[in-house]
Amino acid sequence: MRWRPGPGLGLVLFWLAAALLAPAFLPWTRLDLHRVLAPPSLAHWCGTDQLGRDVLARTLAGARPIFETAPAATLIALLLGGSAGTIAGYRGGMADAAIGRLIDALLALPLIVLALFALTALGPSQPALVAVIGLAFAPLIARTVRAAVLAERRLDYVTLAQLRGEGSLYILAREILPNIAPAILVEATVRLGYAVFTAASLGFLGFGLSPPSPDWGLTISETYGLMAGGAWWPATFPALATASLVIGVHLAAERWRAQGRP
Amino acid sequence: MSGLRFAAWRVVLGLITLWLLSVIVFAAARVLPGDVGRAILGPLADARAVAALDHALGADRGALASYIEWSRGLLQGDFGVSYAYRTPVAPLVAVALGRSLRLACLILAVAVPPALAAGLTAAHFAGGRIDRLLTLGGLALTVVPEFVTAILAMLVFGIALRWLPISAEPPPGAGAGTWLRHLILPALPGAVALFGYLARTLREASLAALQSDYLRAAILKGLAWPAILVRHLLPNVLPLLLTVLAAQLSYLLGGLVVVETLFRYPGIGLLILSAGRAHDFPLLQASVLVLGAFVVAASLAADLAVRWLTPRAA
Amino acid sequence: MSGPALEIAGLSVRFGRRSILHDVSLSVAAGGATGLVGESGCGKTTLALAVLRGLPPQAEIAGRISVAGQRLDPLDRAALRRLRARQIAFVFQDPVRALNPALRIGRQLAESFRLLGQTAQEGRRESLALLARLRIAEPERLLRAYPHEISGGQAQRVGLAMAFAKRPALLVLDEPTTGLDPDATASMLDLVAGLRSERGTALLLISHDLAAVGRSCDRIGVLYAGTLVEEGPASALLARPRHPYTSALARCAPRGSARRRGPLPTIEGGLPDPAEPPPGCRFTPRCPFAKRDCRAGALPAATRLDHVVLCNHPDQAWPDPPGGLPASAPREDVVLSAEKLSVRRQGRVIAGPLSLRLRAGETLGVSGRSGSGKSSLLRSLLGLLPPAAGTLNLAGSPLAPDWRQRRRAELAAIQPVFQNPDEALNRALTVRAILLRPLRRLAGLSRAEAARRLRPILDQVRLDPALLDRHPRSLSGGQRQRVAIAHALASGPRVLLCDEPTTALDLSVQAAILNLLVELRDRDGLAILLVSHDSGVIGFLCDHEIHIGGTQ
Repeated sequence: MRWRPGPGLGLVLFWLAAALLAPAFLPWTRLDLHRVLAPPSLAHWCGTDQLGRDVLARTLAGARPIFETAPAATLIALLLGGSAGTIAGYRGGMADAAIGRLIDALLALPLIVLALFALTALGPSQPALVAVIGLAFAPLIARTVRAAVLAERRLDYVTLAQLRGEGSLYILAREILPNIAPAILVEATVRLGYAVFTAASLGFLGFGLSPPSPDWGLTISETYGLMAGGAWWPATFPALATASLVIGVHLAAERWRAQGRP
Repeated sequence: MSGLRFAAWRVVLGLITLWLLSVIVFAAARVLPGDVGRAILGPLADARAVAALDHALGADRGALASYIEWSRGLLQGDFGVSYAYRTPVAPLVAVALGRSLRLACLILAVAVPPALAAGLTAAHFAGGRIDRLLTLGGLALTVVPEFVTAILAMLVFGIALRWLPISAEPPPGAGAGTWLRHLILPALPGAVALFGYLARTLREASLAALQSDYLRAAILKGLAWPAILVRHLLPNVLPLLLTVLAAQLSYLLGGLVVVETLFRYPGIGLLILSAGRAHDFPLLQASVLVLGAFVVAASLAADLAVRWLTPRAA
Repeated sequence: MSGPALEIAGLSVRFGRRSILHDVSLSVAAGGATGLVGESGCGKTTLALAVLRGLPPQAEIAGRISVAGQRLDPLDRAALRRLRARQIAFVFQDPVRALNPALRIGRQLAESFRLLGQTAQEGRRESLALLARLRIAEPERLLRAYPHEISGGQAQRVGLAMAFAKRPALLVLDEPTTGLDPDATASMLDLVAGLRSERGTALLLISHDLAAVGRSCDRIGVLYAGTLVEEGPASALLARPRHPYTSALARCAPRGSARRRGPLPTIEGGLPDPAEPPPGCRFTPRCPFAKRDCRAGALPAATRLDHVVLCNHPDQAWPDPPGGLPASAPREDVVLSAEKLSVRRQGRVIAGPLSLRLRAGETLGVSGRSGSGKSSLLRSLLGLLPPAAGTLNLAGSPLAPDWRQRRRAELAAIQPVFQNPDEALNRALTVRAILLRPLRRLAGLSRAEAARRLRPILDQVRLDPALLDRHPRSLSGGQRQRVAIAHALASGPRVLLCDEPTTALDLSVQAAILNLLVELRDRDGLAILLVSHDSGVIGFLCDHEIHIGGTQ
C-alpha cells in the first residue's frame, strides 16, 4: 500500500506554514486601544483582544513558539529515552533493574508536576521548557524502546550475529535498529503530539514565554477570565488552534501506524 | 514464582522505587534557586533576619545531614513543619489529597463504565463506521489539552446555558448535592480524556481477545453471547483495565494542575505547585512523596489483582 | 441416524479476489471417518471452519453443507448455537491456545456440560470420568489447573473431553498430530477411535500427514490449492495414489536411510497465487506429466467405483529426483567431540553427563521428547549455554565452553541452523546483506571477494540468485531455510548443528531440505549434528543416534 497523506498531516503542515510566516502577521498584532474586545466581524474575523490586537493574526503567529519547542523536546526525549531503553533491553540484568526503577520513580511523578518543578529551578525560558519536556518524556520512550529491543534480542538472528563475533554496537545499530525504527518513530510522533499539549499547558500555567508573546497557552491564561463577561473569542480561538494541532499530529501518527510503515 | 513470593518481591521493588523518588525529590528541591528565608520574609527583609530564619528552619545545613534527619522523621511518621505556614505538613497534605481523591473518584465513575461499553462495541464492529467514529473520536478526546476542554465546557455549560457553576468550591454549609454539582465541570476535562484513552485501549484488548482461538472455541462450542462476553471476554480484558487505571492514577491525582487552577480547586497538584514556588521544602517533599506512594501502591495492587485474575506464568 | 454425518456439495469460498476453496464435494458417513490431507495453504482450515459455519463475515461462500441431515446456511442464530452445542465438535490445532487463559480447566469443561442442561455436580462427575477415560493421570488436579500450567498433550485431551461431553454426530480434528511423536500420535488416535465407536460419532480428520490419516480413516480426500484432487477409500488411495500430487505426498515422507535408498522425491515450485489460480488443473505448474489439455478448461473427474481423481493423466508414479549420490563412507577424523558433558539450563543440570564424537561426513542424530534437553545440548556445543561440567574438543584442540572466549576460526568452524528461519533471518535485511556479513566477518574476505563467493554458496543450497535482493518475508518457507543454511555455510564451517531444521516446513519442502543436508554431508564432507523429534527424519539422515532421556 502506498502511503497517502491524511487530514492529520494537512493540519500539521498548515500550522507549520503559519509558524514560518509568523513575522508576516506582525502588522495586525499591534496594540489599538480604540477597538478593544471587538467581536468577530469582517474586519477582524476572530475579533480583537483586550489590547485591541487581531485575534486571528495572533493565533496564527502563536504557532511559532510551539514549533520551536515541541520537536526539539521530542528529539531530546528520543535520544535520552532511546539510549536508556536500549541499554536496559539489550544488557538486561543489573542495568535493566536500575534503569527500570529509575523509570518507575520518574513515572510516579505526574508529568506536569515534574515539569513545573524543574522550571521553577531553571526559571522560565524556551530552552528550559525544551529540556524539561524532553526529560519528562524520556522514561516513556525508554519503556517502549526497552520492550522492542528485548523482543528482538530473543530472536535467533541476534544469536547468530553474536556467534559471528559481532560487537554489541554493530548488533544494535545494524541488526536490531532497522527492525524497531518504525515502531520508535511512531512512538516519537505520538510523543510529539503530547509535547505540543504539554508545552501549551505549561505556557498556560505561566512557565513558558512572557507577554506579549502570542503563545497559545499564555494567551488563553491571559484571556479566559474575560469569558465570564461574554468576550469568548480571545481565549476560544487559541484553544481551538492548540486542539487542532495536537489532533493533527496524532492523526498523522495513527495513520502512519495503521499503514504499518513510514 | 509463588503468589506470596511474587507479592513480596513487588513490595520490595515498590519500596526501592519510593526511596529513589525521595532522593530525586530531595536533591531536586535543593537545586531550586534562591534562599528559603528570603522567599518567606520578602526582598525587603534584613539580611541578618533572613540568616536567623534559615538557621531556625534548618535550611542552612548540609544536604546529606538534612536528608538523613528528614528520612528519620519520615520513618517515625513525622513529615516535618511547613516553612510557609509554620504548621505540621501532614494535615495540609491530607486535606489537599482528599480533594484530589474526590475529584479522581468522580472522574473514574463518570469515565470508566461508558469507556468499557464503547471499547467493547467498537471491537465488536471492528472496521465499521461505529468503530471508526469511536477510535478517531476517542483519539481526539484524549489528546486535547484539559484547558481547552475546560474552557469549552465553562463556555457552554457554565456561561451560555448556565446549567452548572464554574467554581469548584461550593458555598459553606452546602449539602452533598450542591457539592457534587460544583465538581461536575472540573471533573469533565479529565473524564473526557480518560474516556477516550480507555475506550481505545479496551478496544484493542477486546479485539485481540475476539480474534483469539479461545474465544473462537467458545463461540464454536455453542455458547450464547452474554455468556461469551461475561465469562470469556471480560476476564481477559479486566486485567488490562486495572493496569491502565493504575498507570493513570498519577495523572488523575496530580496531573490536573491546570484544571485545579482554572476552577480554583486546591488539590494536591496546586499544593505541590505553590510549595515549589514558595521554597517550602518540607511541604513539597511530603506532598510529592505521598502522591508517589499512592501511585506505587496502586500499581502494586493492580499487579497483584492481575496476577490473581489471570494467573499466567509471570 | 439416517444419511451422512457431513455432506459438502460444491463448496467454494472466496475472500475478495482470492479463491481459497473451489468446488469441493465431500461426505462423511454416519459414524465413519474421513481424512482430509494437504499442505499449508491448501484450504484445510477454511474448510473446517466452513463446516462449523465459523468463517468471518467477509467470506463469500457458495455450495451446500449439511451436518446430520441439517442444512447449515438457513439456520438462524439460536438453531446454529444448538447445532454447535449438540451435534458438531471441533478440536483446534493448537489446543493450549484454544483454552481461555483466565479460567480454570474445570470451569471450561463444566461449561460444555451445562450447555447440555446438566447441573454443576453432574458436569464435574462426568468431566472426571471422561478425563480418566482419556488416560489423564490426576484428573482432579487437572480440573484445578489453569491452561498455562498444563502440557500440550493434556490440553489436547481437555479439548477432546469438551468435544465428547456431548454425543456429537461429527467431530472435526484440525492437525491433531502436529508436534507429536509417532507413539503419542497412535495412542491419541486410538483413544479417539474408542470414544467415537461408543458414541457413534463421525470424524473429519484434517492433517498434513498422509500416513497418520491412513491409519484412522476409512476414506481420504486430498486437497491441493483449494481443490479436492482425489478422494477415495483409504486403503485403495494409499496402496495406489492416482493423482500425481497424492503420489508425490506419499513418496516424499522420509523413510529408511539416505545412504541406502538415495534422495527423497520432491515437488518443485510452490502453491499458485490464490488470486490468479491457473486455469484447468491447479497442479499443472508443478506437474511433470501435465499436457496441454490439463491447462484448458474444467477437468473431467476420472472415476473408478467410488474413487474420484481430478486428473487427465492419472496413475503416474511420481519420479525420483535426478542423480543419485556418490555413496561416501564417513571419514575417520573426529571434528567435534564432547566428554562427560552435563547440560545446564537455568541453574539446573537437565541432561548428561554424555559424550559424543562427530566425524567429518557423518550425521549424528539427537532424539528425545520435548523438554528433554536436546536443544540445550546443541546450545551448549555452540557455547551459548555453558555446561555444568565436561570438556569440548574441536579437531583435536580444546574448545572454550563459552562462545565469547572462542577464536574467530573456531566460531567459523561450528555453525548452527535453527528451527525457525523467520527468527534466524533478520527481516530488515536483504538476502545479500545477510549472506555477505559472515563472509566478511568470519571468512575474513574483502568486499569484492565476498561478493564473488555469493554465487557458489547460492548454488550449493540451490537458491536462485534473483532472490539476493529480496527480503526474507517475501520468500517461501523452504527458501528461507535455504538462506539460513547458506548463512551457516558462508563462513566455511566443518560442523553444522541443526535444531529441528525441517519442523516448521511442509512435507514436500522438508524432503528438499533433507536432500540438501545429505548432499552437504556426502559431497562437501560436513559433519552434521541433527536434533529432531521425528524418528523418520533421524532414520533418513543419521549414521548414529543418541537418545536423551526426560528430566529427572
